[in-house]
Amino acid sequence: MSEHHDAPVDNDDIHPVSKKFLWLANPKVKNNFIWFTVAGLILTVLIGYFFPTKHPAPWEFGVLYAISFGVIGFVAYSIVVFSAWPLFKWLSRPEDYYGESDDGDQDV
Amino acid sequence: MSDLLMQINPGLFIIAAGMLCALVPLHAVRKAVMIVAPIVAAYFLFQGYSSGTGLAGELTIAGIDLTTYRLDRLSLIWGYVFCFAGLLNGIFAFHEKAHISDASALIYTGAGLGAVMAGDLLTLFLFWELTAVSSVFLVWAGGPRAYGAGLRYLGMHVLSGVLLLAGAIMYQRYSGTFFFDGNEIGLGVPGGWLMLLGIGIKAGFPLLHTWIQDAYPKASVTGTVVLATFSTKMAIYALARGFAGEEILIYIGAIMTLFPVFFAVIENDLRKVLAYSLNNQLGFMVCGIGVGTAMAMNGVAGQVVLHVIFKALLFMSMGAVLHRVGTAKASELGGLFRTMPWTTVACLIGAASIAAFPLFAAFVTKAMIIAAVFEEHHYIVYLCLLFASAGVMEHSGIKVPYFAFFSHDSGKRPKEAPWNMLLAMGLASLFCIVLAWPWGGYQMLYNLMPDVAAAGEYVPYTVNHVITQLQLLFAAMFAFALLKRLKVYPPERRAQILDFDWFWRRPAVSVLKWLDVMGARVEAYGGHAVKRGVSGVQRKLFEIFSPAGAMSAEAPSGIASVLTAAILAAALALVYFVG
Repeated sequence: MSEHHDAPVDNDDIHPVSKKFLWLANPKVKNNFIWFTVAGLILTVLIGYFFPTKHPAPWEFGVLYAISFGVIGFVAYSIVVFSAWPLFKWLSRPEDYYGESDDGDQDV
Repeated sequence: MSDLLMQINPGLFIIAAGMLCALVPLHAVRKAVMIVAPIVAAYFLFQGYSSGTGLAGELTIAGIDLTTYRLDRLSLIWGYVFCFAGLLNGIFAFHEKAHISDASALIYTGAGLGAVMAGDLLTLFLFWELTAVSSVFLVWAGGPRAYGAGLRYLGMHVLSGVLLLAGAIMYQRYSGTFFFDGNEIGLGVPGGWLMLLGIGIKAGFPLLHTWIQDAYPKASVTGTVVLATFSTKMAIYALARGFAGEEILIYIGAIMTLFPVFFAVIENDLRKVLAYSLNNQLGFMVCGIGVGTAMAMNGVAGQVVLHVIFKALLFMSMGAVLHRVGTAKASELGGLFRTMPWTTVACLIGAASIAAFPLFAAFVTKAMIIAAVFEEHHYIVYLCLLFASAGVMEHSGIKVPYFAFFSHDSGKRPKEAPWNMLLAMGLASLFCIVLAWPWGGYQMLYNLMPDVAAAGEYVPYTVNHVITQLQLLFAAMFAFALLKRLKVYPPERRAQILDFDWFWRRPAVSVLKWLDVMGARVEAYGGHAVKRGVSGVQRKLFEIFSPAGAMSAEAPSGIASVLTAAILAAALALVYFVG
């Protein structure tokens, strides 16, 4: 894996449109993005509680209807990410494994 | 004159334009043809449907009745989106001075359109094979590294066509005709399984899917965008036309939605991630066809339209990155929003569309398929589709835009994409939003669906649907942010990820090499007796399979051979002239 570091911002290189959105690269914004998702999750659970589905799935008994999609989304995403570690170990090989270049480089 | 033109499959117009492109040396003229041809074809589709063309282009060749043009609601929606995709491709590739790619892209587009407009299996087969022969040049346009992938691609597609033809001939013997319509084929008729297998190769069924991830990321910047549109969606059309309601497709589709998610998360090449994502989206469509109800089929048709657009958009955005940076590897990218803001916005719209955010493309159509699965009480499959939806959010909704445009700053400062690429991405972005717009937007898509009345009964923008979908997506984003913060999210690393094609790229090749060596040894030691035995087998095979042999006694296979040879001759002529 190649090492990266945040390069110092040289505004001359930046696209004029992007200059208004450089705050997206601010570490504070990146670190606090999680609270945006938490807020969205809480909001959708609360609204979902008051708007139950007309045809609940068999597992949506009690008040589970209000959080079932959130649970599925979180668990599914986590399973996929956690599975990446053993899968990469099992399935990864050097890039020239098949004897064909696979570097993805093209004409620029 | 115009009545006569209405009788012609419009795919042929685009193929003719492609042939013209092969002969025209002027770049500007070729590009103009590439943009105008799909518009003309769409015009003929519109006029044909308005005048009630229905079945046309009926021919009798060697005693076989062919219906070369069928225009009904099912084929119309595919036809329109294929023309639109052709237009997008023409604009996106406007800057590219590639004689062969221009011609093959147009012929491929025309063949795809011709296939979905085919009224009989033999015409379908001809266009089916033409898509394979024409599109392989787009793979090879990726350069020397794409040569092997192109050959494997061609092999799989020719095999797909052969299986389709074999099944079609068996079906013709049983029914007396090559004509096929809604659910007249299915798995209960002779040849049904063969045709399903042939179609399954092109549709990316599990274990038969690897040609997609092998060839698409190795094709040229513009070639991948073209490739991602036609072959797979043509196969989905063939399934929808002939196999709707086959229950096995529900389970095949469910598996297709799931397994690519696990490959996509460990893949470093973002175009390969999108290729896995393509497989995952095809799974939703196959699943819907398996359910086969009016709502499911509407969902499939709508999903095809939107998927063509948003997947093209995502491939275009990664193509623009590849064009400017020279790589689409996540490990080498990051922070590109600083210099490619419009490409970033286009990618984000594509990501929101594929993840089915409210107000973005797939929100309406994917929900139709999932709702149809739920209504038929396939709860396990329903859960699989929800799981896969969270997976889509992972690989296409977050991974692709995040690692390309945000993440760490890679220090790369490429220029924004060329104007034509931005225009194509802008057009696709516009349609991703318009066709999901609650106030008059998705209704336009509904009007194109196979069963308009049934489509009108499904209301996508209810509080419950919006909230549950947002909850699923917010939960997935929360998981991403949390796992990133806990440093559990795996880093992007350069590697070759093995897929099922390992079996024929490694052990099968080793076995063949071993057999070759052993054969040479046996021949050396066995001498005359072995040679006599081999030539006896060859003679027997010739008696059975040669043009004068037993297998060719029936007209269908004989005429099919002639037609196949004609296609190959046309391809050779094209290569000769272009080369």
